[in-house]
Amino acid sequence: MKRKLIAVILWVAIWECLSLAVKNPLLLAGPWDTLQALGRLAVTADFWLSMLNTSLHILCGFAVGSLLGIITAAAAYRYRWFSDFFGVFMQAIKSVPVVSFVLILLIWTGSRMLSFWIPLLVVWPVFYLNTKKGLDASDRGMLEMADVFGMHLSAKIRTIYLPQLKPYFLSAFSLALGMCWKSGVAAEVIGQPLGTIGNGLYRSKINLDTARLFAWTLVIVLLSVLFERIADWILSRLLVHKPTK
Amino acid sequence: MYLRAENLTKTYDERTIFQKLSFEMQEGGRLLITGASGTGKTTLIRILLGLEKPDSGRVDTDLPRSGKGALRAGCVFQDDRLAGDFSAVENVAAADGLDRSGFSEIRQMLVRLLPTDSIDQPVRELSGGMRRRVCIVRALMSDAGIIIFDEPFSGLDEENRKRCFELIREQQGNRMLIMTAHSRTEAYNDFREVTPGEKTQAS
Repeated sequence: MKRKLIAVILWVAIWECLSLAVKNPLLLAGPWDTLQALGRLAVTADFWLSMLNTSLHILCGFAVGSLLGIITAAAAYRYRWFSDFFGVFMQAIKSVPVVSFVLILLIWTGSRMLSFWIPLLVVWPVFYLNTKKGLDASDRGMLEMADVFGMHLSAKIRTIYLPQLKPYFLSAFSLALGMCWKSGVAAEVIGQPLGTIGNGLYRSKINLDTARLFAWTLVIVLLSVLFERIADWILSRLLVHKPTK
Repeated sequence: MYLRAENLTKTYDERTIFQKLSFEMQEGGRLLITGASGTGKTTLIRILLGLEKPDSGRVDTDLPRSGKGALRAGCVFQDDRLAGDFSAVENVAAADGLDRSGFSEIRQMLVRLLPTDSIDQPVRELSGGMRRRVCIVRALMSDAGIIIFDEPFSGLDEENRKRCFELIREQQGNRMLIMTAHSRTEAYNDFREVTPGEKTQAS
């Protein structure tokens, strides 16, 4: 933790040195300018509403996308035909550029729900592929044992599938959460829904307010890290089994 | 209850493991499958359980089967097949469909073979011999009409083998009991013997 803090301080120092060398806050605002811009933003209601709005949309998109990923992966694991059929769709979604989705959704649904739909579409294949991979790697011997003993599905999920899926879930969560924020805010920048972080970023750009642009970016990074920590904390409690006495 | 093997033949890579093997078991019956390593004891058990198909012949029984066609049985496999993060009690409860109300019954059975302080530990922290004994209790606590033990005493010392064998005999009740061993000893005097490597017809 201490080493990480020193690394952060060092990078901030490098940033400050670079901004002093460039001597043009329009091109590169320094850390102090950014903090001041953040202070100015933080006293406005618009800032907090934008944060809340974007966070809610992105987190809901993440939640629905991850659930869909897990459910469809379970169906694909259970039914071979579904795996063949749906796998193609997931590969396609994974390969289509985010910007194409943004433009299609702008035509179909307008800009208001963009930061819900885009994270959903980004997260879905990540969870689908990770969950499917985890299920495919399930211990065959344990599954045979479960069949012979006639184990209930709930017991199978708890004792065989979940322990197997744990590393795959952790990797999917970490990867998908970061991607969610990047894609969600990028969609907002393109779609321009009012009262969102993406709209704040865009307005900073057209006003050539680099310090404000950096302040919004800092907010996105902090929110992303915060939600990743919360997700880690929840997952570590959900997935680590403590024997009952 | 009955279990009937009729003319079972199994071949691997053109090597005949067993040929036209037939036997029949009834409620409360005891069967010992003997033979050296690689003579098809485990293959025969897997065929009886419905986990593998014979090349010819069939297994006929009135015992229930699971959704995927496996014979419902309490079984000790050659490997442990336990959930490592879960305790002995939880492993037994999960396999045998028992909830917390059944924990005390499981504990009573487990402490007959294992030290009391080990039964609530995750099984990955137990020794190989202890895990084997958990498997034996898991099979015995099953409510299936047949209990099958594929080399259940591997990794156990003489004292523990004796205790486990006594418990198996005591808990068999009217269930069918199948065990495998390299050779027949006095302990198996009341078992009918089948040796897959030989052309066998026992009934």
